[in-house]
Amino acid sequence: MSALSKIDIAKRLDDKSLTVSPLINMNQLGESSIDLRMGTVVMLARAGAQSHVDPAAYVNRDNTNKHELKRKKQQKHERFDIPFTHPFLLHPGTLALVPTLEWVKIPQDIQAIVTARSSWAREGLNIATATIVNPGYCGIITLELANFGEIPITLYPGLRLAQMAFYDIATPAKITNIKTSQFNGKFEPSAGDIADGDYCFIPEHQKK
Amino acid sequence: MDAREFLLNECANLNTVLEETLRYEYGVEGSRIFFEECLNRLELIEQLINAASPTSSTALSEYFYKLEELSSLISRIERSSLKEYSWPFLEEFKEISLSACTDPNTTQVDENGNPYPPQVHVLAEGGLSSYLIHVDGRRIPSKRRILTIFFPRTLKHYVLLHPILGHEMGHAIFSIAAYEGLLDKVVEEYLIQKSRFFTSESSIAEWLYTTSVTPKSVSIFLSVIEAELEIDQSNVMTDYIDFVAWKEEFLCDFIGLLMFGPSFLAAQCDLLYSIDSTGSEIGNYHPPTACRVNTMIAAAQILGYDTLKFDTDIQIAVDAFWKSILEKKQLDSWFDVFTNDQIQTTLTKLSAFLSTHKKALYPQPTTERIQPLIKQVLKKIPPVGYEFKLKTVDGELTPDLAFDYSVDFRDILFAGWIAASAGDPSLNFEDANKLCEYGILQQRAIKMMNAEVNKGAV
Repeated sequence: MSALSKIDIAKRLDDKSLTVSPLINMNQLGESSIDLRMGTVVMLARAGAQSHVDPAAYVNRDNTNKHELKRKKQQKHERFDIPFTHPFLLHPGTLALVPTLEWVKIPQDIQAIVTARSSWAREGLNIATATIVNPGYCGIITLELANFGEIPITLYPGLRLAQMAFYDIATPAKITNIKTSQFNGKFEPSAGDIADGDYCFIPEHQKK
Repeated sequence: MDAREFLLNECANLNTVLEETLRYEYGVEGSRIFFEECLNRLELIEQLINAASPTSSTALSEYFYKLEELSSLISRIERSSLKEYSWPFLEEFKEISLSACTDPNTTQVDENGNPYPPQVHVLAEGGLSSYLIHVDGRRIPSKRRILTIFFPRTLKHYVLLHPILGHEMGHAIFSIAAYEGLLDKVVEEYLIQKSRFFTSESSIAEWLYTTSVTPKSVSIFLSVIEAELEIDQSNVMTDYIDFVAWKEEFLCDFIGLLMFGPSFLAAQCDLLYSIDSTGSEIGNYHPPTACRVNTMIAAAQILGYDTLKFDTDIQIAVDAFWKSILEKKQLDSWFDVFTNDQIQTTLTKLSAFLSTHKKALYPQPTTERIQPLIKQVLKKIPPVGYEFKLKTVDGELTPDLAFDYSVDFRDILFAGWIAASAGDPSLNFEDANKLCEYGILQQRAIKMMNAEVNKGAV
């Protein structure tokens, strides 16, 4: 597994095997990465809507409490549209999910890693904690923004907040073997199912 | 509390409601313009009520309706806050509205002597048939018009269907006194008076009731309204059909097509036939769907929208798109109420009118603009005027970004409709729609960066 250089990335973009669309300025293409811009939606966790995060809340295998699951999902985040040139204030300790402006299609033989741009990191902005983008992924990238500083940070859609590096994979995954991600093909961030596949470890499930 | 006191109390209530609208965000322009405009109107009404005699029932009744109109407007604006619609589409649409719906004869001008442009608000409310533009009433002297645009709640992000708003924009333009006469003259002179059936009320009734040629589906509808409403040939024009409204409908279809191009036609076919599957229903205010759709198909063909040639693989999708459109055409010539010559002349006159309003006329689509967009949608990439290329400079491969800044949001919609017609089972209408909505957003960012580069700031 080796990192793709600027010219490697450029060749992949040119032959269309990799898509990051659009790069609206050449300064987005770094020596071994592509800068990603903030999109125009922000999802903020509603502090008043839940007492705590609990995987047990996601367990509903027998479909008995459909309303409650859907209610919690709908009320988990507050969704904000932030048009270009409008500010969004990220307060210390806040977690915000935002989409990238760019649409990404990762081929089967490449894995991508999303990280903060160092200039923003120095201001206290943490970009991503779940950094790996799997081979075969298609859609926007969700940036998980957190303000680690002590003062609020103003953000504007269109700003280059993150960067994505690419690594080729020695044995590319076959398309048929790629698990369909719950986030594949998404146009904006959404909450995931943190209990997916792990129900056996959750006591509420064991009681059923 | 007498009537006058009640109305003054209502003014105070309305002031509170207006202030409460500021709890929400309203898009790029924010809330200042509508807030100040509505406040001015409210203060004016309050002055009138204060000056009125408590016993002047006529005046107080008039002020009651002014307040009610303003109250309805404010409540619509409050429901037009952000997240209630696809704002990238609407920002593009607003640019057309500002150009086409500014009253050139208004006495209200800014410090540079330019008429105040209208303020546009959008809300998603109601069912499938609730696409409309609510035009500001003329009860109260105002600085600027406020247009409130309604989308169906379920379709608020369906940008591929939103071109139908081009028709509604036609109504908004027609409501401007300075344009009403001109547009009415075009329709009357070049379309109606030259048609075979519409030259007089008796000729329209005859067209409807000549049973030897009237399509069966229409005859069935006419027999229903005869049984239920006692409407027949003798009273259909006096008690049922408002032909002035019919004329306006035809006019607005032409404006919609010229404003949005083929995506208007596609949206119109889908939406109108979803409401009236036979296309034969005679409305009080609306001509039969099939007459309208047949006219627009003929107009699109006259405009040459179906003659663009593409690469073989893309042409398959394009052919499928036009085939699906032509399947909506009723083959019974009874529905062809205008000749191609009449349609051609009307298109020419209305094109000339719209071309005087910035962005109001859809630029003639070209293969160069549309084909790359279709390819992107088919590859499930949001369509934008952008391509990454490698070129050789001084013997070295060098990255290059190629942009097509001429790509218009209506090109994106046209491409989306074609791609959605391609028959790819992995790309349904909803997917194509979402890709186009995101493409419109991205194209806006591309244009913003280009403007910055042109300023020399980058």
